[in-house]
Amino acid sequence: MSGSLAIASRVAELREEFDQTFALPPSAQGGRELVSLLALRVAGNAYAVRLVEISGLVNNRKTVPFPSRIPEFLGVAGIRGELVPVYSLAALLGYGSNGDMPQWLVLCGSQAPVGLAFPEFESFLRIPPSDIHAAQQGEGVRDHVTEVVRAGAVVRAVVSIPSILQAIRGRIGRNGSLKE
Amino acid sequence: MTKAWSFGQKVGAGFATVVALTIAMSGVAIYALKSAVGSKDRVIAVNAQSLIDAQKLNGAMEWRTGAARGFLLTREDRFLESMRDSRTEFTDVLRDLKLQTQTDESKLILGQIEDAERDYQAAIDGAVSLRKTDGPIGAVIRLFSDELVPKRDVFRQQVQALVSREERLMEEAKKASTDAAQSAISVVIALAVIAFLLAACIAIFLTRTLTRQIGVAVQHVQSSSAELQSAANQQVTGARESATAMNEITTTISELLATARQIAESAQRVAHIAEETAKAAKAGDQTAQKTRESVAGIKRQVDLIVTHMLDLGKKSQQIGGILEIINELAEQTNILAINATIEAAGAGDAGKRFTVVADEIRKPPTGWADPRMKFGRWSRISARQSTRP
Repeated sequence: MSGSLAIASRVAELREEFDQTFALPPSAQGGRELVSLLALRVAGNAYAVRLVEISGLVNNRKTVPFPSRIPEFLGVAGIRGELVPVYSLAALLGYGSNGDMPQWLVLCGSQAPVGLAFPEFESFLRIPPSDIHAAQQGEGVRDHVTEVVRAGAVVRAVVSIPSILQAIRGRIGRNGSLKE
Repeated sequence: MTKAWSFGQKVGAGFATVVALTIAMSGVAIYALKSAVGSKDRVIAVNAQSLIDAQKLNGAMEWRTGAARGFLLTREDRFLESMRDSRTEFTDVLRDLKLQTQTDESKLILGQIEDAERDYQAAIDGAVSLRKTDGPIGAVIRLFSDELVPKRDVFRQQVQALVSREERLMEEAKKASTDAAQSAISVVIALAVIAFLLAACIAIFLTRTLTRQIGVAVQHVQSSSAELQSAANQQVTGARESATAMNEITTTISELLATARQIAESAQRVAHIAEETAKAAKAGDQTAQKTRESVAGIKRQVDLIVTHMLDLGKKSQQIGGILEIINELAEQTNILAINATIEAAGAGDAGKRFTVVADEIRKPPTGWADPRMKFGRWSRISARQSTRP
C-alpha cells in the first residue's frame, strides 16, 4: 500500500511540474536562440539536418519500389494522405547502396514534399549558433555539405537540404518531371 | 650345377668315380683271369690228354712190336700174353681218343691208324702162326723183314702223325690261351692307365678347386681380420670414452650422493614439519567439517534464492514486454514532438509557445526517465538470465 501511495504522489508531482512549465512566458524559460538539428547517421558517419529545412520526420513507413532511371530514387511512400517520392540520402551524398530499405524519412518541401531516406536517427539537438562552422577542405567534405557542427565530442556534417532538393530537381529536369 | 656343389660333394664324386673304375677294372681282371684259367684248363684237359693218349698209342705199338720180336725169337707164351695186353691197351686208348675227337681230320687219322694197326696185327699174327708151326727161321725172318717191318713203319708213321698233330694242336691252344691272357693283361693295364689318368685329373681338379676356394676364403679371412681390427680399434676408443664417461658418472654419482644426503636431512626436517602439519591438519579437519556443514546450509539458502530469482526473472520478462510498448509509445511521442517543433518553427512567432510545449513533450520527465530505463535494462537482463538452463 505504501508503494502505491508513493507512486501516486510522484505522478502528482510530475503533473504539477509539467503544468508549471506552461505558466511561465517564453522569455522566462531562459531560452536563448538555439539552432534545432536532427542528428542522424548515414553509412556509419555522423550527419545533422537543420530542422527549419525539413517539413517532417517519419518512421517505419513502407516505401514501395518504383522503376526509374534515377539511381538515387528508391520508390514512393504514402504520408499524410499524399504520395511522396523517396530518395536515398546516402546515394545523394555519394555513398554506395547496400540494398536495404532505410527505416527513417525526412520530408522536404511543403508544396511537393520529397522524402529523404536514411537508416539511423540518433537524437534531436539544440545547438548554439557559435558551434556551427563552415566546412573546411580536408574534413571529409562531400557534396551538399557546407557546414559542420560540434555536439559534445562529436563533429557532424550539416547536410544542406536546399542543395539536395536543387540536385534532385536537376536530375528530374534531365529525366522528366517530379510528378513523374 | 658344378659351382653349386660343395667341396665335400666334389671329393665324394671323385672318389666314387675312382672306386667305380677300380670295380670295373677288377671285374675285367677277374673275367680275363677266368678266361685264361679256362683256356689253360682246356689245354691241359683236352690237348695234353690227347697228346698223352697219342704217346700211349705209340708206347702200346712199341710194346707190341717188342713182344712180337720176343716171341719170334724165344717162342715163349709170355710174349703172346704181353702182346695181347698191349693190344687191349691200344684198343682202349684208341676208343678214348675217338670219343674225345671231334674234328674230321682227327677222325680220319684215327681211322688210318686203326687200319694200319689191323694190317700190322695181321702181319704179326701170320709171323706168330709161322713161328708156332716150327717153320724155318729163315722164312720167319723174311716174313718179318718183308711184311712186318713195312707195316710196322706205316703204323708208326700214322701214330707219329697223330702225335705230331696233337703236339701242334696243344701248341696252338697254348698260344691262344697265352694270347687271351695277354689281351686280358692289356685290357687291365689300359683300364689301370685310364683309372690312373682319371684319378690324376680328379685330383688336379679338386686341388685347383680347393686352392681357389681356400684362396677366396683366405681373402675373406684377411678382409674380416682387417674389419675386426678396425672394429677392435673403435671398441678400444669407445672403451676409453666409456671409461672417461664412467669417471664423470662416478664423480656425478658422488655429488648426487652428497646431495642425496642433504636431501635426506632436509626430508627429515620436512617429515618433522609434516608431523606438526598433520597435527594442525587434524585441527583444520574439524574446522573444515564445521565449514562444510555451514556451506551446506548456505547451499540450501542459495537454492532458495535461485528459486526466487527464477520467479522474479519471469515477472521481469513480463514487465519487459510492457516496457517495450512504453518505449515504442515514447518514440512515437518523440517523433510527434519533433514534427510539432518543425510545424511550430514554420508558424514563426505564433508557434513559439507551441514549440515550448513540443519541447516539454519531447524531453523525458526528470526523475522518471532514468529509473525507467534502468529498470527496463535490468528487467531484460534478469529475463535473459532466468531463461538460461
